[in-house]
Amino acid sequence: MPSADVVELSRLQFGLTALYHFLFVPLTLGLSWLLVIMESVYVMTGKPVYKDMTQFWGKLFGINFAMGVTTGITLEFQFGTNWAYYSHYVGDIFGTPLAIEGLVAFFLESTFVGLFFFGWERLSKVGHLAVTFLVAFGSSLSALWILIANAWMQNPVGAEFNPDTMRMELTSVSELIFNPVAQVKFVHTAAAGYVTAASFVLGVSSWYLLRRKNVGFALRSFAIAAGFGLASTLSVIVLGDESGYATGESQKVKLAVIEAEWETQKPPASFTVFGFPNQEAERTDYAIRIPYLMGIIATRSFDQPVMGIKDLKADHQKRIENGMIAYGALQELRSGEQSQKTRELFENQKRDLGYGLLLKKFAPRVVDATPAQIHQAVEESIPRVAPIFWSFRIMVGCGLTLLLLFVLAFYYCARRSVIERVWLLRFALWTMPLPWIAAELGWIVAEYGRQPWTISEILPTHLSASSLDPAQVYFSLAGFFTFYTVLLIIEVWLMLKYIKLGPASLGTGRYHGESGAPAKA
Amino acid sequence: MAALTFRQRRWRSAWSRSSPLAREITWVLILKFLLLWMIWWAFFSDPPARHMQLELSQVEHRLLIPASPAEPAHAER
Repeated sequence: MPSADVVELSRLQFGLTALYHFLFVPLTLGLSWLLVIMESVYVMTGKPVYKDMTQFWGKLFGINFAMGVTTGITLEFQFGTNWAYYSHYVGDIFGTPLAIEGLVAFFLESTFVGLFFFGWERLSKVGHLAVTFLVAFGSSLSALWILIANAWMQNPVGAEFNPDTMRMELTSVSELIFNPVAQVKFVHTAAAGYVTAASFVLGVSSWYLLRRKNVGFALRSFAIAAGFGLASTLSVIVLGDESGYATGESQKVKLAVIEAEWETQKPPASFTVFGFPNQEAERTDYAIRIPYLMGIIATRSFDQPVMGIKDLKADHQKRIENGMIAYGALQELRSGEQSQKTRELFENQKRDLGYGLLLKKFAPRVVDATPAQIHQAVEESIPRVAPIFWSFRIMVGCGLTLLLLFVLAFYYCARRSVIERVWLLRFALWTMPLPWIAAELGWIVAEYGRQPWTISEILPTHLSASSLDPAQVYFSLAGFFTFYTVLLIIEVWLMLKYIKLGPASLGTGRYHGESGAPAKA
Repeated sequence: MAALTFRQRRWRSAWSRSSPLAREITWVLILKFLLLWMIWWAFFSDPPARHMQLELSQVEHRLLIPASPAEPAHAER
């Protein structure tokens, strides 16, 4: 077994690289669709300002795309090196969507990004719009495949463990692709990306308006971002609710932990808005609750319960005991005892093999685990509540603040009085980081909430990691930290440089700071 | 210094005519691929699970062989 240090370091490394990678992703996802909208207006109206908007925001998209591209590949480096047992166990399933994502990203997305930048003079208006659309479509398709892979880790459908190869094997491609968790995860994540891009365009446009620079350009950008942002924020909230329902169906532990739901309440369960989860005492101090709301979100009914943590632990104890039987049968099968009876015993209990594997951390011999060791494994089966409880609430708080921003922005756009609302412009500027904070916290809820598993109820995290020297992981972690920090600094520097230059960087002669431009262009 | 060939002169002229952003992004991408390659070469070029697969005996050992007294389970630490 790898030392606990190596497991924790490998988790930290993977978590940090994923979070860094996701700083770039949402803006690419959303800005590409905003470019499609801006260019569509240009194609329909023929007004050059919309072409300028597509080109200027396209530049910022290009910077973000160039910084973000391949930052995700480091995660794939880590699978083979830090997570060798995970890779072997699930490679048959996990490798497929990752390979497709790689092909889509490199061949579709990157090709069309090149055409987007170099095709303005070479393609017709409609031809170029088609290219921009394909950039956006390619970005979303990449995200879809990654999220299919990720959703399978949360809800492993369409696969079975094969005791002969000691791996999970794919039994249904359609179940993998149409995994309900993948569907809700994709739409929720993509919509969150749209909000990020809308908030970015709204914030930068507000900065121009506050400085009375490029007013016509900024007002049009502001209006498109306000409309797109409002629709996207509403989608994120509605789809987040759908995500809550899917979680209630397939990830009961995560839902109970998000809610700090210690006891199974009489249905419909209440929703805890605020409180201080106390894991040792298994209660939430100073809880403020909204009656019925949780039951309605999670079960879409008034009479179905939402399982509490204590009941889930009791269920896990039974599954661990079944898992011990499955584990014993697997040991016999692997030692050559291939009788029908042993195979049947394994087949009947293999659903709980993962729970048996949880015991490997506490019991030298799983089949002889003591009640105390089983109790330790049961306690381990629930992640720490407070980080997930708070991450979720801060994420929702960010979402609601953004909803307020986009409602106000849309309202004052409709009344054509944005430029007089200095407070609104400042609000848009200072809330620009919120979508990133929300997205990162969303990932923390999704991934930390899956612990102690890498593959839910199938493979525990502590058995997934490779046996490495901790020094090796410390060095690679330091390498990644340096690499991503350098990239982030360059990204911010380039973004600020071109934002400050504004549309004048296009050299059309129509904007603030260009010779011959009108004073309040 | 040897005289530049026609192709080199054409490339140099295209480079100097390209936008500052294109030049900056090109340099960043070169730096990025170099750093990525260095990280891969230093830490990830020899993964235990090549092509997402291990020897069956290794997996069996990790999952099914009881921990030896020299390798105590976490509970005993």
